[in-house]
Amino acid sequence: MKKNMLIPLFLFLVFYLLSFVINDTIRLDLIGKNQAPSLSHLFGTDWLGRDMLLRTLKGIQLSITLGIVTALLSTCLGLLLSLLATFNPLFDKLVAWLIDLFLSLPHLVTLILISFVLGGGFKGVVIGLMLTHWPAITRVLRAELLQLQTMPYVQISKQLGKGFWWRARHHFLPHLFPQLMVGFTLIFPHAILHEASITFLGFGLSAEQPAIGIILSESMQYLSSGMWWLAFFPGLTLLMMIILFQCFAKAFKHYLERDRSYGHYFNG
Amino acid sequence: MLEVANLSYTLPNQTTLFDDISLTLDEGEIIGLSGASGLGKTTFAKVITGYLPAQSGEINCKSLKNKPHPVQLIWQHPEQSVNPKWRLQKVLEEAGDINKHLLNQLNIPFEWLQRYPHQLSGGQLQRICIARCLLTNPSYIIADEITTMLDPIAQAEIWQLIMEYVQKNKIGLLIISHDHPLLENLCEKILDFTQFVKPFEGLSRNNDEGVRT
Ligand SMILES: Nc1ncnc2c1ncn2[C@@H]1O[C@H](COP(=O)(O)OP(=O)(O)OP(=O)(O)O)[C@@H](O)[C@H]1O
Ligand SMILES: [Mg+2]
Repeated sequence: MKKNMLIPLFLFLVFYLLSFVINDTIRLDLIGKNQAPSLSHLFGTDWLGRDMLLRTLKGIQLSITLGIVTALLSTCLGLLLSLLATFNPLFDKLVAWLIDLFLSLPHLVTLILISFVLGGGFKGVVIGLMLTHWPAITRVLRAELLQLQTMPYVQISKQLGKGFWWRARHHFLPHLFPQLMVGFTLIFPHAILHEASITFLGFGLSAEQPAIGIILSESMQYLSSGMWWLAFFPGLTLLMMIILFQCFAKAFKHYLERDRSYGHYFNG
Repeated sequence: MLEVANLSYTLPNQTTLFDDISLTLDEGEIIGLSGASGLGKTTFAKVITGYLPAQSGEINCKSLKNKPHPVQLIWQHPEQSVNPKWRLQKVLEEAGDINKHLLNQLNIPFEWLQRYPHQLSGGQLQRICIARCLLTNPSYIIADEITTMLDPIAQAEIWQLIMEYVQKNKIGLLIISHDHPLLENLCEKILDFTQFVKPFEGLSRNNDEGVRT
């Protein structure tokens, strides 16, 4: 049980931290450019002779950081807003209105506007992504909380003298945890892809930052000349990282909901 | 003494469920309340115990902030009244510090406290709900059809435990039930809820689902 959770997490962290260990700068090598994958360059080299493995690892690190920070911030914002909405009917109206407003605007346009106003870069992209990705999860959490509030055990809790924040901590949070996890794992790849697309359009990260999105959009032009490895390996690595992350999230969810009361019957 | 004066409640769709109810419940007094299904007995109980706001009228027991309500309601369905994700230990601790003596009185083994609600039967869970209610040291208890889903033996067992506790601690008890023999056995006084409902209202309401007694 614990193994299911720790192995994906371990692999994920290894890939993520590998690029911190490899500290040497990625060298240009114009003689060895456009090489197909080989033993000396596992992922091949690009049009400037840079080793694609190193670029991918660096890119993964930046993209994952961005994805995690954004997913975390949007989930927290969603949780806070949905709790406020249940706290007071006035806030509820306000939050519902804000959700409708943000959902009716095209995602990418809002993102570009916010990121542009904040001057782009890592900070601009993260804040832009956070402010555009909260409505979907907030809507789910708010609906879940509205339903939860009608449950007898929540109403009883109130009559047992427990205040709103106590109920939020003990009744609402454990109930919302699966939704939070799912929301987080859905926003995470979304954020990375959106980062890639606005970077591609020139409003996101600057071109010298080695994000996966930049690698992918740059290699677009070379794909037609048969250099498949430029996009294949970075894309595959990104996919693998996201799958590893989701394996961990799923096992973690099971781990939290496990049944401890009869555990000793099975563990001997 | 719990005093309810001129209590009325109107549903969101503007039909008045009951009007002008006055009732007193002494410490240690046991009153039965019966009436056809759908008349508003559960709603009445929820208004007194603070779950629903009254339309008009006075109740002399109000809850203080962050204190358990002095009038506690025990719900009909125990499986809906406990958080399914909590161990029973936490369910009981929500009401106050766990009192071993009380658990013994209610025949609740400690081993149960480490279980989840779905690992107990309905009757066992109802005993947990009763224990949770008693842990708040209520002055009055309203029991809303709390044994309807149990067999006669389990019913008798639960009522015996409650009666013992209530008499010893001088708690006022209002029992809502459709079971007349039960009420006659336990209560000093039985009220018929039909008298609180406006006569024409009662007649116009669809009573096919319930039994008029
Ligand atoms: N939120 C609501 N909106 C509309 N009607 C409601 C609402 N809540 C309750 N009612 C109606 O109020 C009436 C009283 O319901 P209540 O549960 O209090 O009846 P009861 O006397 O406890 O019945 P039973 O003996 O079957 O438990 C019912 O006719 C029900 O349909
Ligand atoms: Mg009822």
